[in-house]
Amino acid sequence: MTDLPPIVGIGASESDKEALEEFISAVPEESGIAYVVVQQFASGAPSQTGHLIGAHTALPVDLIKDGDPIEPDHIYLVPPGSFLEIAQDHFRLGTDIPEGGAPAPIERFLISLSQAAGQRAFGVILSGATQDVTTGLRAITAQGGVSIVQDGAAAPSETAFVLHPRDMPQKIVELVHQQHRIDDQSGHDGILEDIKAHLADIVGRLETGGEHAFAGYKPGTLIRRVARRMTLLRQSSARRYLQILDEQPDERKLLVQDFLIGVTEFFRDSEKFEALRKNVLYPLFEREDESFRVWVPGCATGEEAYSIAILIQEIIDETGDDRPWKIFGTDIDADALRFARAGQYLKSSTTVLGDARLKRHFEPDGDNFRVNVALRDMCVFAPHNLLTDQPFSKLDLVSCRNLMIYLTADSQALVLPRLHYALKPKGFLFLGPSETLGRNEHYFETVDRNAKIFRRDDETETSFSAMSLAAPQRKGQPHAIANRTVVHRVSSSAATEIENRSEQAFLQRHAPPFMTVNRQNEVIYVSEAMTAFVRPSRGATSTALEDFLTMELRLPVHRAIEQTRSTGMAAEIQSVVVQIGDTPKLFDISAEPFEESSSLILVALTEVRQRNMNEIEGIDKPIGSSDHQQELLLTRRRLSEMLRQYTSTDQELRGANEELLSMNEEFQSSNEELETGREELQAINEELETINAELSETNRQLTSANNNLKNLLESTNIAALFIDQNDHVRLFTPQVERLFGIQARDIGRSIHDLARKIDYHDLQEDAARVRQTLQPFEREVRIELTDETFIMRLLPYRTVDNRLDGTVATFIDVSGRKRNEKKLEENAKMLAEQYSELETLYDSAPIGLSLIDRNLRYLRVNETLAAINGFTVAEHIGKLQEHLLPEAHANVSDIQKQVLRTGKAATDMIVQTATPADPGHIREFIVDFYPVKHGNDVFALGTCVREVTAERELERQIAESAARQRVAVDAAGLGVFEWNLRKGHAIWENNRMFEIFGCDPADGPLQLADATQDDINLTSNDKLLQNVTNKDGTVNFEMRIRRRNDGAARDLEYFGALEYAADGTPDRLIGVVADITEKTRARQRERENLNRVQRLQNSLSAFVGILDTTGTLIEVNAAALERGGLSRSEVIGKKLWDCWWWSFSTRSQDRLKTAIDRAVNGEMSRYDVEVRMAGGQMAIIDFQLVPNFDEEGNVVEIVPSGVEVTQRVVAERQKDILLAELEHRVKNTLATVQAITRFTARMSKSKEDMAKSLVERLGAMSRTHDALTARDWKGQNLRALVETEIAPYIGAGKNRFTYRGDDMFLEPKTVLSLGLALHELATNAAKYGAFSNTSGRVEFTAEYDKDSTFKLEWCELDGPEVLPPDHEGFGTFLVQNLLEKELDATVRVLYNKSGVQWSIVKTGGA
Amino acid sequence: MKVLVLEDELIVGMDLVMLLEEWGHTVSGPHQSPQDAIDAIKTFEPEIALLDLNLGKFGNSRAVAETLKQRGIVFAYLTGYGSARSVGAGALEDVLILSKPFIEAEMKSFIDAHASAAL
Repeated sequence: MTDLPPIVGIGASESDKEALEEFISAVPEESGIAYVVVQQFASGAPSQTGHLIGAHTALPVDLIKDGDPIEPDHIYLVPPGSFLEIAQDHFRLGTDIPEGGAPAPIERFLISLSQAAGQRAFGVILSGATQDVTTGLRAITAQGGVSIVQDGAAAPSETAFVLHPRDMPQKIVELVHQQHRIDDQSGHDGILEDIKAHLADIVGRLETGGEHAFAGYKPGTLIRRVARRMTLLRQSSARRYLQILDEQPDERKLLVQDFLIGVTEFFRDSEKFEALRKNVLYPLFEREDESFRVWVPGCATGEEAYSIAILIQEIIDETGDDRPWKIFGTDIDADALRFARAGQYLKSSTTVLGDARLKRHFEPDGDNFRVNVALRDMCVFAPHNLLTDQPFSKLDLVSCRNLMIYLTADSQALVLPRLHYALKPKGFLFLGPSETLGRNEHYFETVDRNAKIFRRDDETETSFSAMSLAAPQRKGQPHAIANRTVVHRVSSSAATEIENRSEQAFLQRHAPPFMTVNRQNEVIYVSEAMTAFVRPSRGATSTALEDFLTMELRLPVHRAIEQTRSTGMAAEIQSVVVQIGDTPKLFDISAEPFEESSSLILVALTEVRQRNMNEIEGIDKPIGSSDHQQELLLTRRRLSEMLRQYTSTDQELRGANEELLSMNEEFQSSNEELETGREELQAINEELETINAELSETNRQLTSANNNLKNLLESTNIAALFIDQNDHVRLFTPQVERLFGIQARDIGRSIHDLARKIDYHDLQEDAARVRQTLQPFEREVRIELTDETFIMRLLPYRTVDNRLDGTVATFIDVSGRKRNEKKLEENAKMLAEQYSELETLYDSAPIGLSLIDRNLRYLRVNETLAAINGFTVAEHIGKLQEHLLPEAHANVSDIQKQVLRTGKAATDMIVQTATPADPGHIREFIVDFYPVKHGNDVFALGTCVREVTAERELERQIAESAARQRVAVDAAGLGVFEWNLRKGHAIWENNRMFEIFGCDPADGPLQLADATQDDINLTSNDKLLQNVTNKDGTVNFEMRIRRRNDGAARDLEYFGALEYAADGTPDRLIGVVADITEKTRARQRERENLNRVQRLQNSLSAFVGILDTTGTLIEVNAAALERGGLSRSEVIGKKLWDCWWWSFSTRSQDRLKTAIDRAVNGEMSRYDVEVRMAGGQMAIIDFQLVPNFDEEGNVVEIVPSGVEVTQRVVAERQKDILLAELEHRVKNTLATVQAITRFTARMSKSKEDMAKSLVERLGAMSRTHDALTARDWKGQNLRALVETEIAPYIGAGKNRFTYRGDDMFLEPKTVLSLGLALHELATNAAKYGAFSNTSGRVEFTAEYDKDSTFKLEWCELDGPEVLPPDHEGFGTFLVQNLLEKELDATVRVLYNKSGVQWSIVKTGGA
Repeated sequence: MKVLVLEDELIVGMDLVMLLEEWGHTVSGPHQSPQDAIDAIKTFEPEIALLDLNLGKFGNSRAVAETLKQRGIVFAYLTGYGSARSVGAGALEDVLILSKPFIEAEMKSFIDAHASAAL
């Protein structure tokens, strides 16, 4: 049908936010279902809804655009102000409002959805949106879809499921799966086939109720509806469904409901109704009839009947023609009829009518509309089955719209004759847009083809007889359908097909002419070849043999048939000549019966050929007597035959005549009987009329009773609910709507299915109990929300014949009474409380109270007075005052008597007397006596006694205490005052005040001006207050004044409290003043001392601070801050170890903490430590922690101090390094000396020799050291080294030594080795070479280049002749080895005649 | 005994080598740089070694000491530094230190002790 996914249309209102959330949250992620949320008049921003939904689902949420495709697993929202529909499998958005008012958006979408998606449509309605959806849900259901309504909402009867929103998606998925499974298992067609096969049984199950006949319904529709029910029940087998039908009557009812679903509305296809008005109603009004009757079969809920009634009413209004009209609405659905009779329609379904019609023909009824009386009276609704029941008759108009589309063609064919029968001559028929007359076209003539309006064709005979109405083949027919299906299947096999076609072909082309004749001798079939023999006579056409065949054949065929009929066997008439064209042909005619049981006869012509040709020729030839004779013979034969026939006919006629005569007699007697019958009928009719009148009267009375009942129910303001045995609503008064979400259309539904506002859940049990016990039952129920209380009374509902038939529940609103009761209770309780309070007060009041009669006898006394008197309360009662209290009596009896006499109270009497409670002790009382009157008579004396003995004592004590206080204040030197803040002067002050301010008491009270001071200028009290008032109204401030008398500066401190005037402004200041001049001066001195100490600290280059005992730095000097690059605020208040100086190392911090702990215990610490200074630079300080003790030896603070010793420590380290280096160098030097000594020892010949050599060598070493020391042991230049070493050996003379070439810098080690080698060369030269005579000289050449290659040459010239030595001396050995190794060079020595020549060459590399 | 000598002071080194040879040992050295000494360890395969700690411009003898230790060759330090503190980071711990200038008897007993151990 379509590629659309299953689509769920969700109708929601603004108030359904939570329900929608629950629904969306439960939507699975991959279900293949598309969800469309339509809001009731969505005015709110959809984005909000979108966010709302998006927050609860992973599915994409889209705002629909016009033409969007519909994707599964999407949630769609409708943009505001648009109407959503589905067209060609795509969304279509519209803003247009269709003619005749707009259905609500949800409704509109649901209808569109039902048409687009069929059984894949799901309509979900949340509770806030149930208003205008009934038609939509019905459309969904009618197309095989599923409607689901939120629980607790008012669900229309088409609803398939009532569920909680969170359960809905699961249900939908299950249903979709079920549909899929059906599709998958055997295909949807499979299950349809299955149902089709069992349809007769299913329909049969429904028939057993005897109410409905669906036999004539189109199987397609029925199958679809059955399939839908099966889907809802999740059944895929028709057989199983049959079982369910058998077992559950409810399911039968539901299926019937489903079968009967019809979509109807007011003025459906409104233009057709216009045509009806123009072409039918106006013409009818022009007729002369006295009244008009209209029949609307299949009227469902009555909209169509009322639509026609509205049109009629409008014409009546227009023309003033008030001839009566009756409209009969019939249907087989009793529920629908009940609805139609109520005539109450939802607002949404009436919008198509438009305001004018609505106003004219309807009355508002709550949210809905009810047809008015005129319209209602015009219509009659009755159950009726068009297919099986007697039709109505004498009708002017039958409006049978959209009923026949549900019927099979056969049934349709049955229906139309009935309608033809039912209509008056020229009566009209109004059909639905897709309905046609079909093969019954001859019954009606078309008036308006487009509007499907037809007029009865009176020429056509009525073929339907209400009298002969046979019982319909209820069960037979579906069986026949099934059988036919089987036959069809068999005949559709290929072999049969060929056979059929072959036979067909043969019959058409080769068979002799034949025809079939019925009992009336009418030709009902002619074969192809036979057509040549047909020649109808003139006049009205007929298929009777006599009128139909060619002349030549009429008689013989007739004869053959007669013969066959009489014998029942085949008959043949031979040689009949028939003129075909110009040629005569000869035929044999054969007739034979069709079947034994049938009255049909087959007649065939067999052409006589060849052999008989001559005969034909002969017959035709006029010449030849034999021919004539032959013809004569034949004619005679015919004649005699005719005669015979005539005779027999004559006889038959006679017989017939006699029969007719006797029949006439019979008719006459019948006529008489009929006359009698008619009279009887007349009598019955009259009786009926009487009964009718009675019934009318009864009806009137019933109506009146009904009205009374209605008024009674409404006037009592009692909510009464009538429910039947199954707790289904039967009737209710409007007040019930306050308790239950109930509406008129809920009649017939279970009360438990309805939303209930009342907090009462046991109705079911209670009703059951009442039905069981037959005893009334009462209970109180409440609506907590509105605080209403009702007395609910459940009574058994008894019919007039005292049969139990349900329950009546009445709810009487007793909220007011309840509230009053509660109030009364509260009042009573309050009174009781107050009374007991008074009692208690009387008894326990600290005032003595008593009541004394005129004879001064105690009537009543309270505990307090009893105690004062020294007797118990009981001892007082009835006793005379003079007996109990003779002493007091003497004091007061006169006054008492006076009060009793005058009736005037005597109050505040002071009585001093002793009582028996404390004999001998005079106590003081204040006593009131007051008369207690009854009318004007004083019948008793009330006494009120307050003991004031203690108060008097207290007053005395206070006076003493005040005096003491004054002395104390004076002694403390405090000024005491009370200051009038409004007038700015003292109200009262003591003498000390005058002294403090330097004023003379004689000058009067102190003024503001007396408080002259330096720092604030008190010109007004406001300023004073501004400066001095604390938040709690107490005053504490210091100020400096110049004393009035001597101008001395004095510091004063005020303590006091503000007294406020009634208006809340400060009125008086009461307080004391102390002269604190000395104290402030001492404080000043202390501050100066502190500053000095601080300056001292800051001037120190050492770092000094003060810690409290927790290690928190509370003071630090400037040097520490400056060196650390810190400000006070960065360190003061912090733990010392957390300050910048220390915080870089936990080790250092830990050590500091330990030291502080020790300091807290009184120990001093001192150590050098590294601290961090400004810029992260490290410094070493000599750090010291010294605890400070108070007088009792407790550590109160710790003084950390530090002196920077960085320089000193660095110097010490340098010294250590130097010493180590010195030691190393000395040791190395000694090692060298040791080596040289050992070498010298090895090489020396004698001690003297060794000593000399050693001394010289040590001298050389010393010189080398000198050379190095001269350049800080960093190294030495070659030239300087050479010159130093040879200087002692050059001897006298000039130019003994020449240095040539480059100078080069040598490092210390090389200097040492080379120094030693040069020394050896020099000593050798001095002993044996160039320096041993006076003329010899040495040339030293140095060539040096940057690749650290060099060449040194020691060349001795002009010395004594040199011979190579016979053994290598130490010098040579030393020079050779030392230089080779030290310089990594090649050393060569040449003993030239002119002198020895050393060359030292380093060639680089290595 | 095969003795390796690492001593950058040539005079001292040459004297020590000569003395050891006089005592009858086979000596390799005096080597001046650690690299020379390490090369010699591989080729000469000494049984005992004497190392100067401070090698002047060649740094210290730590690398040589580690090489010897790896090979299990006994050695002693020769140094002019008077105390352990001033020996510095160049020295391995737990190594016998012979002071410089060395005392012949001390040197001889060290070598002989290990000579007899080697035998």
